Amino acid sequence: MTTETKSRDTVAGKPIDPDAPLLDVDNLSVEFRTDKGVVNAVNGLSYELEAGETLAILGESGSGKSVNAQAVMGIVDSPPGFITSGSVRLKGVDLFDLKEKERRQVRGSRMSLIFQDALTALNPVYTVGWQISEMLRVRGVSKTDAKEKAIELLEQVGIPSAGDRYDNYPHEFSGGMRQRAMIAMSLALDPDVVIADEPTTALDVTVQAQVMELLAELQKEYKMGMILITHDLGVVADVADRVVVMYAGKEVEQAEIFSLYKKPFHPYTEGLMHSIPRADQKGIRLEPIVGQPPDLAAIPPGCSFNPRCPYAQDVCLEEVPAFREVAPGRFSACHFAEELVNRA
Amino acid sequence: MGRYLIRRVLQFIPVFFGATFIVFMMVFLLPGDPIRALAGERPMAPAVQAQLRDEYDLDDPALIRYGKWLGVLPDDDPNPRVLTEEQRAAGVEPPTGTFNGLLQGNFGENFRGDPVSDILGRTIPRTATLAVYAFTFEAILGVIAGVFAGLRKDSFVDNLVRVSTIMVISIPIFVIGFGVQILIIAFIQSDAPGWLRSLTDGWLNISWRDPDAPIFSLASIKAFFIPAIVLGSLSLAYIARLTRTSLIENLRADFVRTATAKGLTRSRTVVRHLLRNSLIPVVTFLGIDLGNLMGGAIVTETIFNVTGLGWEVLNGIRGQEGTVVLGIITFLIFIFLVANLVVDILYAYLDPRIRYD
Repeated sequence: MTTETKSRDTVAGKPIDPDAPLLDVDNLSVEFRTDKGVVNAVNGLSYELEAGETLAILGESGSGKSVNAQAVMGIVDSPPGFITSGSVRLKGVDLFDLKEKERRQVRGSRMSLIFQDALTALNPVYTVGWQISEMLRVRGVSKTDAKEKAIELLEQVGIPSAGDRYDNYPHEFSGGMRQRAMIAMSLALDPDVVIADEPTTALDVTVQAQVMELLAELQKEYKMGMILITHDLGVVADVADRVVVMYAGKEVEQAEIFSLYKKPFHPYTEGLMHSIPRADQKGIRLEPIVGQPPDLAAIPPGCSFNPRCPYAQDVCLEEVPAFREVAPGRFSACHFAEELVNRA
Repeated sequence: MGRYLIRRVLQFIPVFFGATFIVFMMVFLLPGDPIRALAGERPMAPAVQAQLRDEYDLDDPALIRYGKWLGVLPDDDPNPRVLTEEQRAAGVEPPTGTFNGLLQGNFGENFRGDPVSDILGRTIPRTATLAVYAFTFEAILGVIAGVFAGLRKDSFVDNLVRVSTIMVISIPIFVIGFGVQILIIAFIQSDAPGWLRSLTDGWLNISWRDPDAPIFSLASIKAFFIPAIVLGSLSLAYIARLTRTSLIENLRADFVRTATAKGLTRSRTVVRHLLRNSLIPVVTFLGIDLGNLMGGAIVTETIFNVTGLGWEVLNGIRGQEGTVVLGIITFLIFIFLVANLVVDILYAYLDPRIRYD
């Protein structure tokens, strides 16, 4: 690698802070200015990610979890999308301070993104191998070396006879294989952070498990930090170390995975738990969360979950609850988090 | 792909016979008497008229005439074409009852006795030159305008492209042609600065004169400059809009976002990923349009006096020269068929998801 030599001591030529977390997202806000008004997709989101850790970001459609990923990657369509506040630091280097050229050095090489639907995320008119090796070729790797490395990557993600598959087009791959190829592409430059945006949503259940397993394996092998964006509590349980629950562009709860499952500290998380089928609770009727997710162009005042919350009080309609540490290692943005825990 | 090609070429046969038959019947059904049209105002002896009618088989039923024109029915006139030079010199009488039609490579003759193949040979290069220039003009400018408009949606450039293209599309081509002529005349009559006059010298022609220069030479480009712009203007507008729409559609596509996320430069993302995909429908349109430009130049050729295929076909219809009209249309059908086939093959090449087998 020539011009964009990857040094472990710098990010895009800026010296790193060795004590800083791998990825530090602080008070991130993203809005979309549309003809129909301003849509607040992400509202003051903060989280940290350590090397070797898997952080799950959990939320339903429209909770801003994918926009968050795009903002961290720096690929929000602008206009209409604008980052209005906050910072994203990679090893202490603020990515929003970087020039576009420096930012580009970070994308793909220091952090990469695995998209939800590999069929649309891969370019239909180029071969899979070409698209993987492109990442290396644009960074000065020779054609033959890039091809060799791409085949190696394809083998690593478990694609049989990768040498022949190199020249296949995306539509000639099965859904699971496409997602594997997508994963291979994201690992091509050995990134520090991989953001997987609903990586298994478009796949069959059996293939889902295989792909999740592969991701977990590769994460250990490459010792990278992984952000797993999903709406699927089941997926989270198997691989994540920590969970951030998002609602209406904000985090409402953050916890270690097991303690969260044991006892949610936010009514929304509780609602989510009740709405998924569980093997140990056969015969119990599932309870959906009543109502619709809020319109991000008109988020209700106070706690944004108040219209759907079964415990909502007057204070919830007026005051935005602070995101605070309720118990050691447990964060919640509910006025009544303690009461909720005691009640259960 | 091989089998597909064979099948497609075989499809040419019924299309070809069907189209020539329909056109033949349409020419046959035209009201009026071609011999009287040939004579014009002057009187013509009935005997001469009868001889001409017989010579051109005008009294035969339509189906028989079509058969003779095609060359599947024998021609009852003497056919000197089958004679060699020596036989002709020796004064051998030409035989009658030979098959002498299109399938034998004979396009027939017009009423003056000029072979239609000569007319084709004279006019095709002119129209082809005009079509190639118009094609180059519309393809380059149309794609550029579409790309700039599409990349900056709702910007000034985008609105300019949108408004100007819808104007061109809604104005008939003959209005544009005459309008351009009027503008040129106004420019010549105005007291424009000398440098502007010398700059445009030789480019602004309201009437075409055969420069007899090889294609792509400066003289040939100058001569065809204005007609080519007028001829290409309509397709230019369509191409600009098609490129713009296709680009905007793909701009939000996931694979473009992937390209950005891969850390590619903006220019590489736009050219290699966005444009490569967005131009597929544009290339398809361009392929079909090359055929359209060849056949659709009638109005432009008439306005600018380009003595090409369109000009000749219009004269042929006016003079009821069935053989001329048919010869030209046969050629155009062939061009259309080939253009369509090339587009389909190109399409499979551009979009690997398309497979023919």
